[in-house]
Amino acid sequence: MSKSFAIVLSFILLPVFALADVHSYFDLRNDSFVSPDFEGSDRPNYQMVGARVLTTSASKESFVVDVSGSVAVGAPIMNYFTANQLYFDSAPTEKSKLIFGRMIHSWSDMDDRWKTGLIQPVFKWNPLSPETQGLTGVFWLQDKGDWEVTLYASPIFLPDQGPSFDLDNGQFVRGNPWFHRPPESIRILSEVVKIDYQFQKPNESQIILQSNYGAQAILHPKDAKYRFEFMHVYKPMNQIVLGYDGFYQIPKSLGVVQLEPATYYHSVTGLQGQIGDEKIRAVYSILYDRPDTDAKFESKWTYPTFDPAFIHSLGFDVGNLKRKLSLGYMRVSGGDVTETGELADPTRPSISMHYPYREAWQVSYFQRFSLPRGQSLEAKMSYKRSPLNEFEILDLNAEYRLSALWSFSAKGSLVAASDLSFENQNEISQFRNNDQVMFGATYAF
Amino acid sequence: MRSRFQLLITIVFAFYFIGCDAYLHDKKMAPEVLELKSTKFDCLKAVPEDLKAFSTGAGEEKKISASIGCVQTALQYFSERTKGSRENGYTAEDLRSFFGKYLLKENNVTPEFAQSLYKLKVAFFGGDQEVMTREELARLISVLEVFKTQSVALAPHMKILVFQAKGKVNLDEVTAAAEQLRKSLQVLLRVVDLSRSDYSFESLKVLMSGLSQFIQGSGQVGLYSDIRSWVPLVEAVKNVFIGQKTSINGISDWSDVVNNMVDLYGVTIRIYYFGNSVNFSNPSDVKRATQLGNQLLTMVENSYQMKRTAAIPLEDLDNLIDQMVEMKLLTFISKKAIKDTYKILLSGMFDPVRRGETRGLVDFNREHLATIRREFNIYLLGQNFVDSLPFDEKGYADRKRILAAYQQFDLRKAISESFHLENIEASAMKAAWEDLGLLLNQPRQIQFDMENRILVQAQGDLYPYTWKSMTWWNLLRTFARLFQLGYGNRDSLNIAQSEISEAMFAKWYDDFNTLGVEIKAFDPRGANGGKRSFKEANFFMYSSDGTGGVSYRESFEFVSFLFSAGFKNVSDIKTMAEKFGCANEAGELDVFGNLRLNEKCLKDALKRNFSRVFPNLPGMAADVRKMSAKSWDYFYANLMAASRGSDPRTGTVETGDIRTMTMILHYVESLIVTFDVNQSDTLDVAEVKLAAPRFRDFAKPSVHPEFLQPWDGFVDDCFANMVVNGAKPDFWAVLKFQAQKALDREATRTSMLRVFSTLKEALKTPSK
Repeated sequence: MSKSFAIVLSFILLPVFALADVHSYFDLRNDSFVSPDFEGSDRPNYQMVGARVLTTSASKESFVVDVSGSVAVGAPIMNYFTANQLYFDSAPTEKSKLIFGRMIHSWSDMDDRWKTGLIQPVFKWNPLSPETQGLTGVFWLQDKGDWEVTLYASPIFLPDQGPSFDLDNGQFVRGNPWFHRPPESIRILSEVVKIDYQFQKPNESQIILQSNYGAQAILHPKDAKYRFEFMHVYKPMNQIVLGYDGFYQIPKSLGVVQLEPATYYHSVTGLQGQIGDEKIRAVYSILYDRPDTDAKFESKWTYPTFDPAFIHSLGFDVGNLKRKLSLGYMRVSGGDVTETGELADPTRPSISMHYPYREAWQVSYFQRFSLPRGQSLEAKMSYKRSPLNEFEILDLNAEYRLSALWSFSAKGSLVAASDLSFENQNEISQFRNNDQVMFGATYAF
Repeated sequence: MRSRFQLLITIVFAFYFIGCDAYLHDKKMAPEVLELKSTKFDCLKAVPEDLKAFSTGAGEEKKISASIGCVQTALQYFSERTKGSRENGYTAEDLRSFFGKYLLKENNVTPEFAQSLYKLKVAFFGGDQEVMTREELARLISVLEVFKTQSVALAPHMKILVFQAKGKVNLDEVTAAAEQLRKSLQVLLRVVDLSRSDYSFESLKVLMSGLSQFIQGSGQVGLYSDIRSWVPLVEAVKNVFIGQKTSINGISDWSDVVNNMVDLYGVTIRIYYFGNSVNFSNPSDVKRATQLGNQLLTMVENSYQMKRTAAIPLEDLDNLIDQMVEMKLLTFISKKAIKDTYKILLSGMFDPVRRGETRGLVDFNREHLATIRREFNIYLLGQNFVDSLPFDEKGYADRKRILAAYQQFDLRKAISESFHLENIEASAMKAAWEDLGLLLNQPRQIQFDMENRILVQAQGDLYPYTWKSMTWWNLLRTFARLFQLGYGNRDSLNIAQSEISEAMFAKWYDDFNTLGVEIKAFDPRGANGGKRSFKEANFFMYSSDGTGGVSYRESFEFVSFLFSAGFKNVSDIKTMAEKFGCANEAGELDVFGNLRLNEKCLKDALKRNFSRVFPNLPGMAADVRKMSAKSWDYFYANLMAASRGSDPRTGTVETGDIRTMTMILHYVESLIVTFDVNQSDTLDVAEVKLAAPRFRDFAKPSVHPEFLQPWDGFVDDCFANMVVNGAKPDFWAVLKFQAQKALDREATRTSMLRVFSTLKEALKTPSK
């Protein structure tokens, strides 16, 4: 899907480049997995060659683009391409916008802050560091001073963009450390045998051509230091759901597992309140996520069912463009994912997930240092921890801007997590040995 | 500014790298494993035990239902969760591989057994012998539903069906069990395609062999442990009733075969539960025995092979006997004896044409069967008559009442209601009824006491008739009919008119010698020859006339004497002797395998207990009671001189001696009660001469010189002289006797015994 999507985008981008104030970047970086227990792939080091095209945030152009791609040397399975935003504003005024395309919009602080993919899809090439992608469709935004309205509708649905994987001869190819491979073996009558996966590739149009809509109303009187928001979306869940069914192939002594992706609709309704201003603010969001319960699989298949959930999020930000301290807490109440079917196992977490974790708090600090001769250094440290899901992530980013053309970056990401279990379902534990150090250089042109 | 930057960098990196170690050493991810649950197979563990309990009659209906339900569920799950080598099904190897690996680790199904199961699959559901499709598996599951219902219905009867019922089992329960088996099998037959298949017994044998091996290997014991050893017997039975290479086509034929097999099984369980207890002491026992006989005959008549080919090859019957002996179902008799005997019966008694010729006898055919059926019906008719007799409250009836009942018996009704016969068979029944009347109307009728001993007394009417004695009478009458049928001349179609010649008597003895010796009825030393028996039947019965052959009446009386004296009285003497400690102390056995008896002891015990062991000879018992010791010595000496076959110097008496002794006592008493007209308890010369005609042919050759043509009166005098004087006379002795006969001479039992003693050698040799 991603290849065809990239080709289409390429054709779209050419005229965009011509019209918009775009910046292009070329980067080289080295990703190293440093944990001695790293087991995500056979090699710990990857050299990536990438490019990014985006319009500046200050730009008032009708076209907005933020696309990027990267090629891993010698590891094509790590290649990616993403278009986080790509849209055209047909009425670019201050008060009214009619947007066609993929646009990142702030539907909820919870979604923006935690990047759970609840409302807007996320690009999860690296699931520990997801990037928000926009919904794709038609947006109508009205700013009436004290209040704003956003309406969204679309016949198109683009789900989360996860890491690439490949299936060779019934086995998920080992190579992408960010792809969590499903179980390799199956126990049949106390004997454990290898699994031969049969992935039933979905009809892409069936996935993509699914209508969805949303609306948001924001009340923020001028000069007031509070802000209320209400939003509601009805759309397919951004997480692709996997149904599966297994049988034993007697002559080959193999367990055959058929995988079939599907999408479930859900509606998300949210309320949000904020006090403060741009320099210091506190935000509380509560969202009610109600997935559809209609089964999409044959009764003998094993598939997940999703319970409704309330998601609470509290955020506190203080700072400016030079430095910023952020604190956050989120909690999912309800929202259990339970598998039903012959292969379901109450002692094992579901293969499909809806929330990357159920609870977390986070603290992050950003500082920008201005150096002589127009040089600068940006550093960001963040620490995320979940007592409930028993994980910790410590990130450190530093970017040294040598000139307008050249910059160098370094990043470290450390993860610690407990075992996955039915009670402790989260996405982080799967990558607890993917502790990573990255160094890179970027050239802007 | 610079210092803040440096501080921040320092703090960050210090914090970062100090904490690194905790982050970098996470545990490796445990490999995740999916699981195809085995819970639906778990219940299979209990299935063998439940099926074993079911098959031994100990199964509970709920458990059986649950077990078969479990098999259904497991098969359904298997069908859904596995794929075989073929697109839509499984080869035998697939199943072997799966079950061998996961469920039958200790004892897998052999390739041959797996192929057998597939053959059975084809027989039941059709299709390819190489593959079992999912549709066939689904059908099997649905058939199991029927099987479950029928198993539940059979469960209460299983104890009886598998020979495990303890305690008292009544006939109704046995019949109900067999009928439920029939019903269940017929229902099952209709849900499978067996009737359209060409499934052979050879295939079944391989299947059973595999099953046996499989079950033995799995440690199961009991009913199935020696299943393989029963296969040849089952095959032999199948060959008899169905045929060796018979093709069974269509549901109707299969239904017949199933009925046939259930009939056979029903008979088997009846024999098992009641066979050993059949006696002729009460009406219900006899009714049960006759029902069983009727069931057996009907089963053979309705057997698939008999219906199709009108015959059962003797080769198959021989094989069945071989297998029964092999399985130790027949232990007291050799297979040669059985085979020889049944062929003699077929060629003699039951073949209207052969007259005992066994050459070319290759099958048991419909004619044989018809003869057996006729004789069985004749026996039943007689028994119906006995059952209808008007016994009083004590269970007695006198001769007058018996004869009146015979006259009043509604023969036509009895024949039409009980036998549903065609006209020609009805005629045969009427003729047999007249024969029965002939025996009943004899001046001196055969009569038995309560212990089935033949009553030999001067006034026969004094002792009442009972149901038991008349039943025994009817049974012996049937034996006599068969004897007459087998060895009598066939010039007359009427049994009552037929006679058995001396030669045929000898043939009878020869025919049954092997069997007789094996069942210890005949002396292996040949002491009781057929020709001797002929003379006994011709001389010493009530109806004996001493001439020609043995008539139906003589035959009946002979059989009655033989069975009475030969069994009950002999048995009583032996019991008495053992009670008095007469058994040989050295433990020496005679040719029958019994302990020899100390003669002196026996002689004393017999004197003291004569009336106890011979209550059926009241006249003789009274006579013995009155005897002095000296008289008893003389009596006993003559008796043993006539009876003894063993060496007198041993001081012991053996079984053969006692048998002969018992018969001789009966014969003496028979002569006394027949000819003691004046009821003096002895025979005077006139009475002896009344008896003489039957002995004329025997007495004649003793007259010398031969040129003298003896006339009847002279011969009778010879005989009278012999009886009265106790010695075989010559010419001059007879002349002397002519002078003496005016004197008041009498023949006592002792003197008659002396004649037996004297003529012992002559009795052994054939008359010219």
